[in-house]
Amino acid sequence: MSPFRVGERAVVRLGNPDGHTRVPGYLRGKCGEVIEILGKFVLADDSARGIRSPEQMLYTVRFQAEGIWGADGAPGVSVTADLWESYLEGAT
Amino acid sequence: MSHDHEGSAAVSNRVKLLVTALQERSVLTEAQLDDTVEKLLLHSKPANAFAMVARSWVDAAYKARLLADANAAAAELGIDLSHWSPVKLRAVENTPVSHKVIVCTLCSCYPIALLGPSPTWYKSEAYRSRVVRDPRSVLAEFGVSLPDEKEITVWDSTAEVRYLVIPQRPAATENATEAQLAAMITRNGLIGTALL
Repeated sequence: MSPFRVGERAVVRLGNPDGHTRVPGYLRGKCGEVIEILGKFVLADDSARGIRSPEQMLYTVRFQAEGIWGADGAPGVSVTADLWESYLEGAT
Repeated sequence: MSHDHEGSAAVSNRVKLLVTALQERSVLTEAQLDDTVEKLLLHSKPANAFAMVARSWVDAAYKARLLADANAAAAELGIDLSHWSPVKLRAVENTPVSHKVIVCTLCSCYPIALLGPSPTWYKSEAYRSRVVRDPRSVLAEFGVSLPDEKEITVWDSTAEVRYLVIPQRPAATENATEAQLAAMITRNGLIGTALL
């Protein structure tokens, strides 16, 4: 899994894990643009399960409202979220 | 609102059980817990963020440092963050063309160390679910009517960053002192649900 660069497009992976996660459901499967690389942090999903895993890169990703809500998304509106690398995959 | 009461009673009960378990195992004493909570409440107040934003309006170099590294910019003004979780603080700036508003759709993440405890509405499901879907309408309900051409960015605090909005400096304040400017700032202004 290669790290994402600023300006690159990324898609939030589909999934529905049983335990704790920090992926907001409304962004699953949505495509956004990486706007900041925040550094490495322990993945919240693992720490909630008591799993000691290596820190993972965290990114700020910006999503346009039309990309989240389709025709119901207002032009000029965007939402950002902070997402760990394993939550994301490259946009095709 | 009976659901909320049941929720907080369940949480209180869980916290009591956890504290008892930690005390029984000599991990924590009641005095240590009281001391930690007291320090957090003593140091976490809106005056911290008001001082940072007022300074950013009178000192462009400070604003640049605040936008680049808000933890360091807080420390620079003597704001002690050691009593809080080690999270990354980030300031985002309103401009003539773009308005910012913060939320935590997953729970209630908030820059407590800089703004004190969050308002009740910030934790409500209505705010958390609606502000990402239709921020223009939600902001209008707060009395913030933005022209259609103004862009809005909603910052969802989903992980290890806590956000703070730097509002635009109020109009006609060229002669105001830093202290006078700080007194014009409101908590909602720094969440993005008010204009100054």
